[in-house]
Amino acid sequence: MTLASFVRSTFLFVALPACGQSPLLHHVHDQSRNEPPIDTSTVAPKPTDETTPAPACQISLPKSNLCASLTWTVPSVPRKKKGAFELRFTRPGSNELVDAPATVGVVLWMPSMDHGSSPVTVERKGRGLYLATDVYFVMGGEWDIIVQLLQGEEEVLDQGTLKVQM
Amino acid sequence: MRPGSLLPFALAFAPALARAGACCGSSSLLPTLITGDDRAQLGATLSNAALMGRAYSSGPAVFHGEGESESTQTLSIAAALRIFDRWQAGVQAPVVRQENSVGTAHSTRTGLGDVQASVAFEALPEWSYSAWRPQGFVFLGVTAPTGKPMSEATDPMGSDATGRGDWGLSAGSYFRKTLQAWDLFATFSFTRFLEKQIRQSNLSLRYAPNWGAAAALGVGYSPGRGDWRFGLSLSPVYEWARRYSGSLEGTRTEKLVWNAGAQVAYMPSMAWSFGLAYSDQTLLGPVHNTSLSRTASFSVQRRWEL
Repeated sequence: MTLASFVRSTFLFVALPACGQSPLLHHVHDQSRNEPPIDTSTVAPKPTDETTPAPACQISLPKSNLCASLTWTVPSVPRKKKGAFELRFTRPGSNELVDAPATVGVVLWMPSMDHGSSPVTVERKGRGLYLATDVYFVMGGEWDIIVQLLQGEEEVLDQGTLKVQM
Repeated sequence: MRPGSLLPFALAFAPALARAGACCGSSSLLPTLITGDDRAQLGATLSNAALMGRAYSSGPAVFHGEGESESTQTLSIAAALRIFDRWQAGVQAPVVRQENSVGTAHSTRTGLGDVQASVAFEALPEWSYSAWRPQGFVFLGVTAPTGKPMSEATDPMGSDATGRGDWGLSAGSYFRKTLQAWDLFATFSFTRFLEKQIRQSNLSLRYAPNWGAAAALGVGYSPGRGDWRFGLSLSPVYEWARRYSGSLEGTRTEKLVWNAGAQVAYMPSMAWSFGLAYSDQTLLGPVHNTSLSRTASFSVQRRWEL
């Protein structure tokens, strides 16, 4: 085999499998992902006052007959910045805030990578209103924000999931 | 010196050839093999993998921006011993150091990675010359989750994740053929990842068993059939989709990454070999659900003849 035929063979050997998209030629940089998290659920966000019609449930907790809506107060930037969001609990079809019947917890989970992130702190701010802080995503991608109602520290009474694209 | 003598050393680059693209902990899907007339071999590979970005289940790959870096340095020790005439056993153990940097935040952690053990049989021995028949091996391996998986990482940046958290059972084959100054090799393997449980915060998940597959094709050239070998290789690594249940239910989509590699090996004697290797996961696609790294490795191997 001559050198020319080796080079030709090597090129074909590499080029044939590369007919798919090369990451080097088709990628974006993290700088372009500074926009707020994108809610990938199909539900519209919450109303701003009690006179407007109640939207469909953004995060459904069926066992407790509750809806939770999430509003970012401090956008989280994956790896770079912890964020914070408000959770407002209502009954389905109602705008009236109601207290959750148990302790509210939030867990972050990345289903495509089999891992979560560091713990989220949740604090009650008022009737049906909770603030989640220390919301940190260890990498970008699609995440599940799981809102849980807890008895004690570990028993999960109910939970609902919101999918977001970080 | 026969150029094929350097081919066994090419397998010292196996961790670079078939580095699993799973996030936060890499492992080799190929075992350490004695392919020459040696009784035992002991090798060490020092590698530095710069994580350039990640590919997800959809959309383009996302590369790190300015002021952001992730890298993994791995010291892998691999040993193989011929047990009987055509049977051998091997073990690989990596120590992993992860560095994460985002702006002014910085994190560095070191820990043991996933340890692998294997047994191999020379199914096609090279007892006499054949113009077409390759030398061939079949092997069985087990990977133990001795490294910490990302789901158990306590460092906020995930720097203490050194393994994938799965028990894996592998079976595969390796073939090589020397043609004057040229050599060719091919290897294929399947891995069965066993069921695993993950508990994090108040989540309890059960991941069902699934399959992974890896292949590697390579070609090498030894000028003048001397002490040097220059090689190229291509290794796709694929993992099937995986169902999970418990606190959440769903299916994690498949993973796919391509390792394109180049190697230079030098064999000053039958007992010693040295080599440099470069492996790039950003060149070829498509890629899914994987980290994308560029890895440079230095290897040294000591062999003891029969």
